[in-house]
Amino acid sequence: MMAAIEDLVTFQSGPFRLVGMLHRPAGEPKGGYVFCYPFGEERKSAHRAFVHAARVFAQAGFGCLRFDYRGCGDSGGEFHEATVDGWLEDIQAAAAAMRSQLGRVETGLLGLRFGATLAACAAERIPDVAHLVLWEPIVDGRPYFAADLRKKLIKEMLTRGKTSGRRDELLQDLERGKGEIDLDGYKVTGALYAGIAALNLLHRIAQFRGRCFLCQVSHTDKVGAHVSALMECYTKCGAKPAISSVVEEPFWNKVDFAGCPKLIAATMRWLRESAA
Amino acid sequence: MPERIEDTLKKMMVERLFLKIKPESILEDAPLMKTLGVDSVAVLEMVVGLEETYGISFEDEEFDVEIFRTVKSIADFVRAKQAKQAKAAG
Repeated sequence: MMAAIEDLVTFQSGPFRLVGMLHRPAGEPKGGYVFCYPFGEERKSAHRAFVHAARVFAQAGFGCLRFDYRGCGDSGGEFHEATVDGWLEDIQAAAAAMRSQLGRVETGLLGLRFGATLAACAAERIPDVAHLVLWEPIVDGRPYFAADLRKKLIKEMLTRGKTSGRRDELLQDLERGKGEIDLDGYKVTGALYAGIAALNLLHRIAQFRGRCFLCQVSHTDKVGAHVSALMECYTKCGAKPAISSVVEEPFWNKVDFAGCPKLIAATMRWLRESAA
Repeated sequence: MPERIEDTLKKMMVERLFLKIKPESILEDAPLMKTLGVDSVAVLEMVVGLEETYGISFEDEEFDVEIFRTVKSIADFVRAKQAKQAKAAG
């Protein structure tokens, strides 16, 4: 069997030079997926799992482009310049860059957590996205950010014995444009927070008509209300959603490496069934 | 008879934190951070689990490292919150 090839690629998104890794399958690609990383610390923890997933996709004949958003990882720009709109432009630019490398292939977006939220929003504005894979998607940005902030305060409590403030006060300051919130070294500005808090997929999804795989990853196989609501939303707008749940450790939260073999296996099953 | 909070808590910890041990092997007075490696992510997971299971809410100013020291200290906190909520409800 011929081996898949991995190439470092760069492409432009607005004023920023973005860096990614293109996984080319051996032979003609059956399709191409842009991988959308989650936000902040979760991106670091999910990195190796994304690499592994992209290699499995490539072995199965699908090209993949993993890339860093502006202000993140190897890409240009500074984190404090990041906005949600900017990251959506980056996904659009990544999809175009992937097609220029792989030829005219059916395009899909795969995202994890907030990366899934961004992928779902990007699919609304990129007309030729035919497939969406959403792993443990964040449906509503506001409570998601509040939970991240809670985690920060808990960490402070465990390490310093006290917290730097209350969430409502910290968020009010951010909304008033006063300062930034440091989430594990990622300094979130008021503009970035406003973009995250304004994202609610149940209000955003209206256009996507393609195939979509929604997969919950948690301690239980009972599908949660957030994923069910998203499924209903996609069904209403004429897409073809499939839903699944895997009981697997939240690898995006782990400091040490944790893979996601069940998640990847469930996704590959869906890819095969979709292609059939 | 409702299950003891301590027992529910142990099961919840094993399930939500993907611990590869039996719930009954968790000692109620053992320091969780030292024996189970409980960190901030695990504490957040427990907080969400407690809120869902017992219908209580943790306010930011209530977070105290002492609450999460042992299974017993968490259970004591849950009982105190339940009593407070019952009193407030009249």
